[in-house]
Amino acid sequence: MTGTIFDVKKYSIHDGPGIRTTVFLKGCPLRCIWCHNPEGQLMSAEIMFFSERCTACGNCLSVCPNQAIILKDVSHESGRVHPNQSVVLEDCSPGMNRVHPNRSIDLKDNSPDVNRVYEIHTLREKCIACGACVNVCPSGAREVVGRVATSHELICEIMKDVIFYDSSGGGVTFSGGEPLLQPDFLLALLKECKEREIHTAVDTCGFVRWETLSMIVPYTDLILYDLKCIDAGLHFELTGKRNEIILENLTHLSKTHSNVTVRFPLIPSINDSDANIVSMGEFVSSLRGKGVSPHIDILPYHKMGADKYVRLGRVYSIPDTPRPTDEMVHAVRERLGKLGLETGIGGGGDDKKSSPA
Amino acid sequence: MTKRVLLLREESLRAKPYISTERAEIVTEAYKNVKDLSWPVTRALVFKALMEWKTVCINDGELIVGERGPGPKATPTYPEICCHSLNDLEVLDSREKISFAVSPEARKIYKDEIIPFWKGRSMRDMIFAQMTDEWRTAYDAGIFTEFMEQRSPGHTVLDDKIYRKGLFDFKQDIQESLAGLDYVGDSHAYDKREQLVAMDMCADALIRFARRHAEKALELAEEEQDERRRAELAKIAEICSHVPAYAPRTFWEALQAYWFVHVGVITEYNTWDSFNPGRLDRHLYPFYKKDIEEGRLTEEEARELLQCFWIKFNNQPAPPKVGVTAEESATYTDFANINLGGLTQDGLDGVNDLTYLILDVIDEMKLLQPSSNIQLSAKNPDRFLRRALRIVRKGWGQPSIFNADMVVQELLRQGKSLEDARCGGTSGCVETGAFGKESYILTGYFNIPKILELALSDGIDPRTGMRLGPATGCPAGFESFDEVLQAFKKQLDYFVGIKIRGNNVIERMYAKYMPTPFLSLLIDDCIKKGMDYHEGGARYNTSYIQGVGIGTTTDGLAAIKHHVFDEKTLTMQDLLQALHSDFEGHEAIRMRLVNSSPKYGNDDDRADDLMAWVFQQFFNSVEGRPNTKGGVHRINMLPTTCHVYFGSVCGATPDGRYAKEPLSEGISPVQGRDRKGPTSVMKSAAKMDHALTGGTLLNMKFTPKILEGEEGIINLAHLVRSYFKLGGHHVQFNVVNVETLRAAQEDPEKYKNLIVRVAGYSDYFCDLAKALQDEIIARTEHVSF
Repeated sequence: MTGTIFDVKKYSIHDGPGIRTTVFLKGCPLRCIWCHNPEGQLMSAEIMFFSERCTACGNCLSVCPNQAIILKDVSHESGRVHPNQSVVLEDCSPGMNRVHPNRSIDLKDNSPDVNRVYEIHTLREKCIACGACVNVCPSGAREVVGRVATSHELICEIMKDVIFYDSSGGGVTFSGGEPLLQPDFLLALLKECKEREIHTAVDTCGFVRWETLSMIVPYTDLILYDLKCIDAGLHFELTGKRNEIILENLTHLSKTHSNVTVRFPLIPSINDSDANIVSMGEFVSSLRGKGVSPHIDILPYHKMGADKYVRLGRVYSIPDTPRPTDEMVHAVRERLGKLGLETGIGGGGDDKKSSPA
Repeated sequence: MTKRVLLLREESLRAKPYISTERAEIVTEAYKNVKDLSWPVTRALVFKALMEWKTVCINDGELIVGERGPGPKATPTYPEICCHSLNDLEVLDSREKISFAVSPEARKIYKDEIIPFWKGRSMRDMIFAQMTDEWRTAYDAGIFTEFMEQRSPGHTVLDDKIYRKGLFDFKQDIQESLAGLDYVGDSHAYDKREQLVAMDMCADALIRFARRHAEKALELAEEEQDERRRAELAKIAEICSHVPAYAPRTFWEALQAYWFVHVGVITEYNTWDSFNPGRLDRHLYPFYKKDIEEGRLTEEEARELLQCFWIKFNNQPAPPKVGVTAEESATYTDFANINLGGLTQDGLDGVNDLTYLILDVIDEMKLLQPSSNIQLSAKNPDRFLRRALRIVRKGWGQPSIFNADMVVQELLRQGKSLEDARCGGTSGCVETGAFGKESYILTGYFNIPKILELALSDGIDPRTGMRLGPATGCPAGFESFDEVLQAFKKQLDYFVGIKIRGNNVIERMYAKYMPTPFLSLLIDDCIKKGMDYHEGGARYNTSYIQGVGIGTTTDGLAAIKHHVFDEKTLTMQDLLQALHSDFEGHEAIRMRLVNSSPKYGNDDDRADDLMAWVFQQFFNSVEGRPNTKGGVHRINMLPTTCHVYFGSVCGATPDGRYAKEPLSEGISPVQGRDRKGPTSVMKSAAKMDHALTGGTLLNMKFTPKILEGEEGIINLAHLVRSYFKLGGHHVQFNVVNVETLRAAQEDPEKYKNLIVRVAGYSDYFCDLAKALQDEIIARTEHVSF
């Protein structure tokens, strides 16, 4: 069994209990405007370019089978010529210009004019993420994000840290992207983990068919369920999809699974209105049943993903949104507390939880 | 912290180390007056002169008294071991780091009295004169260092005997041993008598030293205006009249008894690894408990006494070092390292109330000396570990954390009894010893990457073009990776042999010319055997060689195997050319070596198996080879600062390291090459068989963010426990602050393994783009510590 993943992180300590390994599956049905893992959205592999590592050796230019990597002459743009350079290569991204001193391009043909300034551009529409450029990049400035992995190989990787899970009550968390977009692969992984007595968690946005979600329930010890907002129209605006199915699934889940944690990404002036907080609180309170505890983990917004957009050649649509202040987070917790809900920050431990007001 | 402690701490921190010639003058005078006596008795007379004539110093407000020099940070010299030249004094005075002020008077005394007497007679001069050409060549090339060229062998730690017995009891033991001498059947009976007589003289000398403090305290009391201080001085006088002559009766007396013994040891010689009380919480607990129960002491008074005790350590910088010794141990720290927790002699949980009080003291004092560590057994409670980690989180590196169960296992493997093993611990940096019963001498660091360099150059030092090692073949002609390994092994065995031959000469020189009768009093079974500590009087005698740079060596071998032999993407010729030119014009090759070779520290068997191989070769080469004290040579894996010096004599290495750059330190991965998080580093490090060593050193670096909250502490505790389950010996944590992060931005290559809390997981700081780094820097600044 194979699937597409984009990362495996060890010593993950905020996505479920204890010390965990988090496996990130690639592909997501939503396009949340604040998404901090944009490389997890598409199912297919992509190239990430780390301009700060680039030594401007030029290897990548000549090997691309699709001519997707080009030198763009930007000498006409003012203020870009470095006084001490004959050839200056810069990343195309605003704010990330980086001069690489004492490097010169050595191309077999088409040697660039030494008195001009160039940028390396990856033409995303031509790039098929074949990885030819990655293989010749000596400094690791180009990475393919997303690769096909076998369940066997992943299980081996997960099992490497078993002693840490045993000590800490940790295990494995499948995240993404949306792990349920690859249901058979996920199910196979979960089953293999359960056979090995590894604690399992799945981090989902809930936008999948109930049949799919219900399939993994018996093999998942903890479900981390993301809720962004209750209003379907707003949800569409923020994520590209309406949320009826998400709310329905959570309702079903509350009756069939014994350990679900609702997580709420709090984005200032985007989903932090009192109306949204109240309806979130009321909705979660109404689920008091077998599995969903009257509890919400707040995930305060951060800008961690912003640079990844640049590396993927995309635009981050909310660059000016600030992180929520401690006061703001506190106020939301109070508000939810009044509705009879416990709250926590992140996926963290007990110390950060508060009781209902 | 009380006002008294605040003031004393402030004074200790403010005092600048300076050279005091008092000891050198007394010793020189004593040697001049001694004629035709045995060496042990000569040294006893020297010790007696020191205890009789050195300045007695009682600082304002202090409760524990006794300084090594005439005042805080007044640092004596040991011309009988290493006689500094006028030029050395100038270097000590003027160097930028670890300097010691040298007054014009001190220089004059050295010029007129000390140098004329000791030149050519000091151990340093005698040792270098005795070493063979091949030893000298290897030493000069930086293949190994020599611990005893400027400092006397020490490396031992005290057990509980001085808390049970006074020096009069020791004298009684000496008399019994003397009475049992068999002048007919034992051809060494005379030597033993001389040794025992010398020990007896030293016991008297320390008692005299303590009583001089009692006299001084009474003198001061008479002049003292403040009534409270007058009473304290009277109390100090009473205590100094009682200990160390008699066994201590109270907590205060126990601390003072240890301190006199400590000053005695570090005045007799400039022992490597200073000296240290070892399992302090265990030794003091009976006194603490009894004093509290009987209403003689409050917890706060105990805290203040401990804090005064801490300051005494901080007042004694490591004696001045020059040359290679200064490079391998560039610090003022004299490596007294307090052990807490661990097991009792019966194998039970050794943590008690005092353990926590001492952790508080470490936390509050925040002093570089004494160093501190916790001995963590599976039997110790988690709250003990968590309390220690909350101090670690503050980011100044103390306490370090040891696996007490592994320490016991190491000692048992070496043949110590179970009780002796359980009462052992670690000292210096990470060195395992049977406290009170073992002489475990570190003899020198060993440059493992230099061995690889020689294996890749047919035994010729590329730096100088000189032949150093045996001809092991031109590597361009090697047809298999195994030939590389064989060449490495031959070079390794050759230089280990040279080092050990040198060690065995130096050991005998110390045994013969520099016996240590005072230290011998304190370590079992010197009295019983009538034999000096340097001669083999201790119950256990181990000589260590410390391997440095195993990470660099492993990654170098892994890169050769991967690129040259497995993937065949690089010829040996091209690799060697790139190395010889320090990658000048070969940056693309360097980048490949750095970015696409297996690296130790990532739980990747392709590299880790080679680490285990290198380790095993080093072990096989050293382990079990006899020393001259009835014991054997063994290995441990630590560098102090020697990985910097050793790096400076190594050319470029196949892992992509530039010439002269530092090597990897301890058993830590090469700086910046561990890319898969802390669990992977620990998994890799645990593939070394730590039980075969006398200590390994693993450094890890965290940002405060990852350790935030109780959850951060709990997970760090699990991390430590897991590493110890895997058989790790030691781990210590760097928790870095915002300045370091800024430096990391300036020089990311160097800080590649810095881990930060990102979002729902953790990541390497340098993997994050500048904007994200800026955001994290902004966040970290909100953390106050």
